[in-house]
Amino acid sequence: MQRYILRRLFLMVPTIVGGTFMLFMLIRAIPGDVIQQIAGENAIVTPEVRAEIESRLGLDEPWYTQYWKWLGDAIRGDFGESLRTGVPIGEEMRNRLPVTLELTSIALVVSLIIALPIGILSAIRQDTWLDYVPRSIAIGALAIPAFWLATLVIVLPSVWWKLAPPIEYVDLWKDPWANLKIMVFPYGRFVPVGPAVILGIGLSGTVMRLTRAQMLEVLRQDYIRTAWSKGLRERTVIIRHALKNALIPVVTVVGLQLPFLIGGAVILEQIFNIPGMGRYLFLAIQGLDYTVVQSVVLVIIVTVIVSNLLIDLTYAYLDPRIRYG
Amino acid sequence: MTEPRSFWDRYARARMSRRRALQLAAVSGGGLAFAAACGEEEEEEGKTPTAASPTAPAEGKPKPGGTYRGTVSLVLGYDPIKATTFLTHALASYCYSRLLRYKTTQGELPQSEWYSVAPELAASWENPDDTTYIFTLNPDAKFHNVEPTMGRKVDAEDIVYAWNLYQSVSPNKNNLGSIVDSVQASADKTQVTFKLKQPFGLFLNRLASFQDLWILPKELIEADGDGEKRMVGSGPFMLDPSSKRDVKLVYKKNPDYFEKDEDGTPLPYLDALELAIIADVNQALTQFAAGNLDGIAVPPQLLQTFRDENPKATVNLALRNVLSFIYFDPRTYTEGLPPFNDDRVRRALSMTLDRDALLSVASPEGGEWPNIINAGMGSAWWLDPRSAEMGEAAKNYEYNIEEAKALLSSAGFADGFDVNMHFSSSVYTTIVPYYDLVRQVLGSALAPAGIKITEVPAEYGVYITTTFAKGPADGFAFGLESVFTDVGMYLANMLKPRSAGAGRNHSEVDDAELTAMIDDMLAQTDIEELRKKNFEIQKYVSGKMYYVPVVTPLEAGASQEWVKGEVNTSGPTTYAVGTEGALTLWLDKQA
Amino acid sequence: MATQTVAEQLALESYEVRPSLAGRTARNVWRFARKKPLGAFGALIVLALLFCATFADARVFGSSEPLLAPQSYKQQTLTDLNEGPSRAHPFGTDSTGHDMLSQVIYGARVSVIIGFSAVAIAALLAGTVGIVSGYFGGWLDALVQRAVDILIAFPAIVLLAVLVSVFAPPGTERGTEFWRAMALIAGLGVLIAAGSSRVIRGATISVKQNQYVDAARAIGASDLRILLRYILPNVFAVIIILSTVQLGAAILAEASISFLGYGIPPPFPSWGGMLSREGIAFMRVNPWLAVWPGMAIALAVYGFNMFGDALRDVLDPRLRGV
Repeated sequence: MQRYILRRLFLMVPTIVGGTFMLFMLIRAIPGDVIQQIAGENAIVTPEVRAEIESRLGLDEPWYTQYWKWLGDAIRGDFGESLRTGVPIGEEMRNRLPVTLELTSIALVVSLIIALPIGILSAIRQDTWLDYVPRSIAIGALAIPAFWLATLVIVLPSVWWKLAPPIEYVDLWKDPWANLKIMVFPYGRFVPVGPAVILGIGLSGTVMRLTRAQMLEVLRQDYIRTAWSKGLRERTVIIRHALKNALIPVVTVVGLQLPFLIGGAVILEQIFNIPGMGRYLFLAIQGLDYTVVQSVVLVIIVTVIVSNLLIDLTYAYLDPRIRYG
Repeated sequence: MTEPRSFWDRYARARMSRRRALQLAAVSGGGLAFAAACGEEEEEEGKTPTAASPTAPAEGKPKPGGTYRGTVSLVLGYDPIKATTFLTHALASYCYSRLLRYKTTQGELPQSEWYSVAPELAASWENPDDTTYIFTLNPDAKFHNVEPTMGRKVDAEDIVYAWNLYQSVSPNKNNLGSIVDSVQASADKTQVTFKLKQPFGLFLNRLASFQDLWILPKELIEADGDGEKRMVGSGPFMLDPSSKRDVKLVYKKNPDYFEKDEDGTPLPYLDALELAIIADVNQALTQFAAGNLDGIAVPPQLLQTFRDENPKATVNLALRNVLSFIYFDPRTYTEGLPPFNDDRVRRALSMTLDRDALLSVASPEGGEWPNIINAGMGSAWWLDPRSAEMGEAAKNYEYNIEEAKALLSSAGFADGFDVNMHFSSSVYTTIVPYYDLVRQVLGSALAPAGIKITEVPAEYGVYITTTFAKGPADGFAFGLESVFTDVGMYLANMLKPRSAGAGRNHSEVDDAELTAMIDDMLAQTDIEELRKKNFEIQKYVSGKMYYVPVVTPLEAGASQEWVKGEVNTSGPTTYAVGTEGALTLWLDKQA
Repeated sequence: MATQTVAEQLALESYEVRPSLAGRTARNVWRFARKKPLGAFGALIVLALLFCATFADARVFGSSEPLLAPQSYKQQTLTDLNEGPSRAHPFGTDSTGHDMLSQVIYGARVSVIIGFSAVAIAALLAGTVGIVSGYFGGWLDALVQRAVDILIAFPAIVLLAVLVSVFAPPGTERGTEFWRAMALIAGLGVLIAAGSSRVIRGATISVKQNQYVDAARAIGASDLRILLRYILPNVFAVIIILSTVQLGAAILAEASISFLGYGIPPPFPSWGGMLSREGIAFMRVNPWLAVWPGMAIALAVYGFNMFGDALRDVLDPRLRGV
């Protein structure tokens, strides 16, 4: 097991280097002029001014030197400063990463709460109304664009009842209830329509579909047939025998949806005014803030890889058939 | 529960006539009530209690105290000296002072007084000769009573320090740097003397500009290196350390602020001012409707709906002080690249624009036609293209497809031509929606004259740093100019050659005669004479159409009914919201 | 064809006379519709979408006259701004006087072109990469999987936004919309392929372990032959099922990226783009601006998902007959 973990950690290296390098090159191919941006849009950038800014920011060095220097610093925790605002990036990310992780974690839980019952039900009652109706609703929910749903959630209660979600973001550790209100219950505790829920709904279709397929597969296994033939009650067969085996792959696949959730967070943080990584990233892309985009992407890649590793380890723990050498 | 009036009966109600809109634009707040009371005909405007349910001229004595809750869409930084963006200047204007500021009043400020100056740190000034200005500082002015300044008095040395800082780090340093020769403090540190390189009639206006000389204390720069970590100045508010750049900025009243109202009550009235960071326009409208915000900006297209949803809110309309204009590939002027090198083509382009139709899309409640000077500068500075005074050049602005075609054909483009139109496809689309609306109409607007457009969008960051900063790569671009607060900024920045430091000469216009006219105008110290020459230049430029001005829409700000003491939002307070705008605000409600 | 494998001979023997192709197809479709009503409904939506995209204007007949759409997408009536549904404009008009119905119909074209192209590229790429990587294993597999790792962990939104900004060289002969479409198709295609190549690789590995593959190898079938005759047909169903569902995801992704301002540029209408500009901002003024494109996206995604689910039930042999 230790060797497996070590090998996985070792394999992270090419992924991180490859991913950040790809971005590093791509972002420099954007036809904007970052020097002009720094000098100010009304500045007349003479060659001297350009050279001065380039040397100040180390942009005059060859690209591979720039890349290694940046990566080296980043690994040591020094992400540098935003090109656009001059604020240290590490500090910003420390405040924002927990926010986005919280948003995505709640979304994961929400998607499981919605998807598991529907997936199971539609599998054990395949091709009946109990399959069609809930599944239709789940897929329908998935089909609605998150940004559209989010805007409806902001606009309609306001137009109809002059209600508004909480105006100000509160950190989880400062006031957990106020924080939960923002993420899940913006209009009071009986109306779960917060950003985490909308994000979770987007994911629930995928989870539901997977649960259904896994259940269908498990249900035709021999041991289930044996359980039926022993005359066990349906509930016992489904819950005791089928469910556990069907859910292991579901949970692991759900864990792999982190990149999807981060994409959703970019949009929902913008609309719901949540100071997370997604909003930071989006503003940075818009403002040609190379250093910020690079750093945020690095952190996202590492987060995704580490969480995948954790999931795989859990998988091995849950399913005794899996052995890692 | 209020049922929102559906959008389509809005059109059943009479559309506001242009004349009516002009009144709205010209006046605002209390001025509106005044206009109505004087029996101005309301034309087709129905009985709907208007429009801007206007604040009655501030009644009662201001009640000090309370917290005003506003919003900003984005915080990019705190240091107004290093910043290029108005976003930062607006935030800083609560905490820092300038020597002079723009004149404001509650209620109506006549257009002729827009962008005239009023004392701030400088209590008075004298002008012994054309190139010398001596300012006497307000003896009560102190920096904030917090680290690192601890309530120290502002003296003339501070002005000199701030000047040197401005000259060393500001991207806008040429605005004043090209004019001022030296800045010196008097021996007793109560007076500061500005020596100019040559006479410059707009010097006082320029000094009030919010892009330029903010007085940052020496201690702050010495401690932090720049003004990015905190804001410590001599302004009416102090940035509270609980502020978070991506959640909310909290400004607390500066109890030692040096200005008082007529009754001797210290200003500002408010105890605190909070700006929530809200990027999404729907979110802001929702929060306002729920009463969580005291004031917001409302896109003009949403005004009617807004009034239906918030019948008690006060709506102030103002002409937006941003020039929207078409600018050409610089090779047009540097190399004589056709087709736009021919002024007949440029004039034809302008004549093809039905500006009133564009306004009906971009700003349903009215607006104006800009000249090279934007209409938002007010009638003292902007020559209305439709006024008699415009003379010959007026026809260049009139919608006239036949004439446009005739001009094109005399220039050798009888069949029209194909051309690329560059524009920004992000950021503007959300923060100034009218830009996108106008842009969407431009394509079909130019088609009747045979000008066939291919749209070339670019992301904002790319657009600003390439097309806007260096001129479009080909064809023309549709753009928005920065907020300029005096005519010199427009003329010297956009029309003098780039070699003379004109950073906004997007198309590299180089017209020796025009340059001489501009220099001559700026050197005038008699303001009336200067205005006259300014109008002459506008006429000249309108004849050449080096840039094609498009439209000046209205912008709208809305406040809750309990917000009192608002100054007019027209003109100067658009962005320098701090000292001009928030000083006299008060809240007529129980805390 | 020198020798036929045992399995192939067996397959030939089991061949029997069946009704004509047309008759068979009709019967299969009918059976599918009866057994999977939701899937059939999804298929109908997909067909309608394709129909709108193809015949919005007479482009297939070499003309740019609007056909299905009442107006050209470029046509604007500046006197009809933000109108509600009316006889002249069944879906109303937008803030710059476009007919909304026409915009929605034309918008189908962007969704279809980007969705189908991206998924086609993804299927091709993921099929090749997944099968080859799964079949051969070894260092090739290890190498490919690292590349896939990168793409899976990479935030899609960044890749797409950057690609869109990079490709769109002004001054090229093709318009910006062409380059942006290319960037979106390539970006989405690669991203989708990364995810599904893992699934296809897994399927390949499990097929590889079947005895008939060993048998084929034993009698000297080449790798290429095994790949084409045994692995591919078995994995093909997986690719089809994945693709159908991913079409929905691709359309949703295109809409989201357009919402953020990195989609197909105006004036050509796309559903996400319609929502991103006045659609969302002016929702309070004219709710229809947001309703129509939002519903169009939701319907299209719903259709592809339902159809894909039904296909999975029918095609995936492991699930058949449960």
